[in-house]
This record gives sequence, C-alpha cells and structure tokens, in this order.
Amino acid sequence: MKLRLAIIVASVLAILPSAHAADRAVVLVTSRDCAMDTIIALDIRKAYLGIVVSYEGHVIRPFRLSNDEQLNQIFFQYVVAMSKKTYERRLLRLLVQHGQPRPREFDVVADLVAAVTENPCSIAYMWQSDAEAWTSIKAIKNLWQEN
Amino acid sequence: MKSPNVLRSGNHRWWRFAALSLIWFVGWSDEVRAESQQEILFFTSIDTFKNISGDVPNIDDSYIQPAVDVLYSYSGEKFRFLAEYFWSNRENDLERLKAGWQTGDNTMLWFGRFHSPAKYWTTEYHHGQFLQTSITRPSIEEWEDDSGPMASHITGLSLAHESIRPNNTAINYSFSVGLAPQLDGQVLAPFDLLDPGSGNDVAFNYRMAYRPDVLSLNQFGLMAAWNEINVLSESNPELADLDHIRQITVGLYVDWNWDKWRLLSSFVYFNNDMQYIDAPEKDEFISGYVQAEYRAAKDWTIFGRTENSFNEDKSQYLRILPAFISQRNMIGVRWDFASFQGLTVEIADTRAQGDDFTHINFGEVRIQWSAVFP
Repeated sequence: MKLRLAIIVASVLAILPSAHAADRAVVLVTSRDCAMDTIIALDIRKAYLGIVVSYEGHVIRPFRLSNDEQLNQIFFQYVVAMSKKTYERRLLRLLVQHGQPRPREFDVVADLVAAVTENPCSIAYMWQSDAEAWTSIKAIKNLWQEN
Repeated sequence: MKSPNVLRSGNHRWWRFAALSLIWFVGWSDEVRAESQQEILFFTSIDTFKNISGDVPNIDDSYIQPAVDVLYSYSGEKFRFLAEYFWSNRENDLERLKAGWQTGDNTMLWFGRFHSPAKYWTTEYHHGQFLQTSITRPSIEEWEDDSGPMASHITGLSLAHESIRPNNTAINYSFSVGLAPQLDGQVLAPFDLLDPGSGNDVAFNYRMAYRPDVLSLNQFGLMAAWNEINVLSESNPELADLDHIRQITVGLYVDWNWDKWRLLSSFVYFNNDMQYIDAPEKDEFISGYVQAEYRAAKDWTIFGRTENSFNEDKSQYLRILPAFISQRNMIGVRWDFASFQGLTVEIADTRAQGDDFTHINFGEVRIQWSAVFP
C-alpha cells in the first residue's frame, strides 16, 4: 500500500512541472485601444527587422523584453528566425545606414506594457500569463506554445 | 600614402549658426520630441600594417592606427538626426551630419553631409569598421583622403525611397544633389562645413537596387554619378593648367548570400573630362572588385578579394592620384568573439599607380581588432 502511494505521489510530482510548462505560451500583444485583432507572421517579422508595417495609418512599433532569456530564445527562433548575433547585426546595420532606431527594450514587464499602451498599435511579445494580468493590452497572436 | 585630414580653422559663424539651429530644433520642437529615441555607438579599431616588400618608395614600412568612430542618432516620429565623427592618430573629421524628414512610410528626405549613394560598400558600412568583414576597403570605395577616385562625402539633399511590392520584392532608390569634392594636391577633398566659401561645384549621385526578398539582404543594382570637380591649381604643379574635371561614373554591384557563402562585387566605369586651359582631354577606365566570404565555422570567416582596373594606365585622371590602388589580391580570416568584437588578419599583393604610372608593387600584412560598443 505504501509502495503504491509512493508511486502515485512520485508520478504526480513528476507530472506537475510539465503540466505547468504545457500552459506556457508566448503571445503578441497590442494596446486594447487598437482595432487590430490579428497580424500575420510575416508582418511581425518585418516589423522586428526594421521594415515599416502600418495598420490604419499607425506605423507598428515593435518593443522587446530584454531580460528573459527563454522568452528571447523563442523570439529569435520563432519570430525572426535567426540567431541573436545575426539579428543584432541586422539592426546595427540599419542604425548605421539610416539612423533607424532599434526596437526599444525594457527590463520590466510593467514598463513594456506602459509603452505598448501609450503607442497606438505598437506590438510586444510576452508570456501569456503576463499578458493576461494587464487589462490595457490584448493578445492578438499566439507565437509559441509549449507542447 | 595617407594624407592627414586636419580640421581647418576659419570663419565658423555659419557653421555655429547651423549647429545651434539644429540643436534648438532637436531639443525643443514638439513635433521632433514626440516618441523620440536616441542611440550612440562607438566603433573602435586598432589596425596594424606591415609592408613585407622591403623598402618601397612612398609606402610606409609599418604603422599602428587606433581609431574611434562615434555615431549618434536621434529619431522622432517623423524626424531623424544622425551625426558621425571619426578620430584616429592620422585624421579626425566630421563624417556625417544630417537631418531627415520621413515624408512617407518608406521615404526619407535628408539634408546635410552624407555619403554618396553611388558607392555601395561606402553606404553599406560607412565608417563602421566592425561591420565589414575585411580590414581594407576596395580601392574604388576608398575615402577621398585615401586616394579614392570618386566622391564619398556630399553636402546637400538626398532622397531615399523603398518600394515594397505585394510579392515582398523591393526596389530601393536613392538620389542626391549637393556639393562635390575638389581636387586638392593629390587627393579629392570633400566640401568643408567649416569653410563654406570654398567654391565646390555640384554633384548628382544615384542608386537603384533590386531586392528579391525584402527580408533578405541579397540585392543587386545600378549606380551612377555626375560630379563637377573643381581643381585647386595652386595645390600641385601638375594641376597648374587644369581648371576643372567633369566626372561621370556608371556602375553595377551585387551583394548575395548562399548558405555559408557571400559574394560582394562592384564594377564602375569612369569617364573623366579633364578641362585643361589649353587642350581638354578625356579619359575612361573601369575599376572593380570581387570579394568572396565563407563562414567556415560559427565565428570564423575566410575571405578573399581581387581588385583590378582596365585601361587605367591611359587615364590622365589617375596620373594625378598616384596612391590609387589599381590592383590587389587579398586573402584573410576573421574571428568574431564576445558580443561585438572581431580579430582579422589580411595578406595582400598590392599595386598602386605611382607617379607617371611607375606602378608601386608591394606585399602587405594587416592585423586588426575591431568592436562596437555598447
């Protein structure tokens, strides 16, 4: 009986972290005031590579959260589809050539959300759980879901 | 071979007024301050050069050149400002100073001092040494004070537009009109912002590029320039009877990546109308390069470049640019480390035109550390 109980407890403990991970998703958000309710992957990639993408007259400004390593790995792999070094050199090139600013980076989710809220139809990527905690933004695209 | 470029003193009133006006505009205009963003970059490098051909006239035996290029960018909702200043132990100069207005989603109108759109390498890397794989630039892309045969710095207006089509191909257009360099001694000298009354003539420069995929950097294109180059006759006895040069250039370029390979090439046709007081002379030549790069491992790149010129020995124009490199065969290797640092070694067999086409042949080894901060 004790052995069976131990096996059940061990199994539950083993399953718990993966159940939590299965809930993890990365979403693209914009301000709730923006009428945009979805965006194609190509336009997201363009915006983060410094190519002008507009929605109803607003240039879509991309923002990033800089201090979450796992989140950024997902960004480089699934959004811009290039290594961090290649991506950063692409942006550096635009800055040197045209004075084009790089996507603004934030250390704190609250600051990122404030920037998205203040800039109409700007975009940012974040964990779904973080996005759900703020009423001033809305998720418009699921970028990644842990299997 | 290098001619130091020293900032001139003189009447600074016009320049001060322009600078103060710009600072006021950047600092206080509400239109400009909306959603503003600033960036500052420091491109640093230390170059070492060794001539391995023994004692060669007019060629340094060796030298070390530390350099810093500071780039500042300010971006508002529609407004941009960019300034670039270069320091080294051989020269210091304000390289770019321009203010731009975004007139459409993909159109920028710039005013100020900028790099000629008719030179691909120059507008790809500017003074960001870290960004270019090789240490040296191809000779047709050299700066004016390094015996470059074409205008690199122009002061005036430029318009850049990118037309993105529904199939995600793009055509880029750049056009500029401004002040051309002058021929001073044995080099071209760009318009000096600190000496606005120096009498430079007009320059029209143009580039059109086709990009088959807007997300990729692959592109090829056409470049053309019409530069009216005034001559400072008193600066060089050989220029005593030369009043003016009308230089027309037409060139093609390609920058293409396949997997681990990259090909970068440009060829330019030069037509120089040398307006001597007694008997005008015309000459023409072609000069260009092919550079191949191979990413051998994650942070290692092997590269090589061959440069050549055709009909250059008949060019009266090149006769007055003796340090122009008409041939070079080079190989090198680059190691990228840390976030943005590179260590590069280059070996080259080089031929400069020399006085009276005597041709100066020499071998060279260069080692360079380059980086960009932050």
